[in-house]
Amino acid sequence: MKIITVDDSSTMRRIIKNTLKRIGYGSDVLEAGDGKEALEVLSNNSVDLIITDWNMPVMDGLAFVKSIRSDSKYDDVPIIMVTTEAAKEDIITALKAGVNNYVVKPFTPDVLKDKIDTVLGKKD
Amino acid sequence: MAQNDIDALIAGFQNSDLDDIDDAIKTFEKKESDDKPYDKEPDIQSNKTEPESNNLYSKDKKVVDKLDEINRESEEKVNYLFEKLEAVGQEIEHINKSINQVKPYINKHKEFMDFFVEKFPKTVVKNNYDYFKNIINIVNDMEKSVSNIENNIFDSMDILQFQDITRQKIEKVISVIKTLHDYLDEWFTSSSIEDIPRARVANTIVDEKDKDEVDKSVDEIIEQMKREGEMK
Repeated sequence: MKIITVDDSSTMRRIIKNTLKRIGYGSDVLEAGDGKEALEVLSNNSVDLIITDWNMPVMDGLAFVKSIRSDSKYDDVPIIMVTTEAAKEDIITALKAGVNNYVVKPFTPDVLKDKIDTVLGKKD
Repeated sequence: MAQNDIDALIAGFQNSDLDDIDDAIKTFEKKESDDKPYDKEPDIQSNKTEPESNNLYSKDKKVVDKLDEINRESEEKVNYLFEKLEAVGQEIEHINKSINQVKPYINKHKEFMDFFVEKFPKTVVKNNYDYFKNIINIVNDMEKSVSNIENNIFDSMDILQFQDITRQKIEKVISVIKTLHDYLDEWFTSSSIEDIPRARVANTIVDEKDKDEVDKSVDEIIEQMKREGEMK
């Protein structure tokens, strides 16, 4: 299972990678520092899941999600947004843009596992 | 002027002739001027200028640069801390592997000892068996400790998320400074700031005590949007 984690904070990318390893999803994790970089990584790699932050320079998470969802090639790739943004209108905006699930920072491994299991259809 | 200095000056007057008094005054004046550099007259002749005395732009940039530097430094240090925790984690993993390698032999030996004690229930054998059971207990305790250390390392790694959240709080402060600067700039000057690309500033940063409530409401919003078919 291949996952890409997109976050401008190298610390957060490390934490997410580490968490994925602990919850059994960390065998193959790609990284990108913003949406533009992620699109470049995705042009050379196929992934099964995208985990992205919202607030990033160059191309933010929302623009990245919209770009991904405008390409039918990624129709089946679930996206989880992991962000500090917790306002209801932000969550709705992200979900309408094509995000499949939403995690507010700081998160616990259990929460991330639950969300991943849900988007991958491993959980009702 | 401290009392010691006054006393020294008076003593100088009392014990000296007029030339000595002049010297004493000059020495005292020199000492005073050396002690209080802020009393010096500005050196108009020299080319030295006071650093950014009235340059709001450079002061603002300095604050922003400083905050960026704090963000960079804290991220570097947290990454360094993360590496250290990973290194401890690897050591712990190594110990865990060693315990797992030893355990089958211990279990096999216990089976043998059980059989031996049953067949030869003498005191010496029994004592040996008790010592051996102590070793098993120690190994089990070690296994538990290793597991606790592992969990604490993972928890510590999770806590390091604070760095990203603090970083975003500082980004908010930078955004306020920039807005203020732009506002003042628009009123008083016509220059514009060349800036590095920045992330959108976080609107909401959840307080830890509200986190569970927020997680619950996120799930509720997702469920509601699914029901209403509003999600792509």
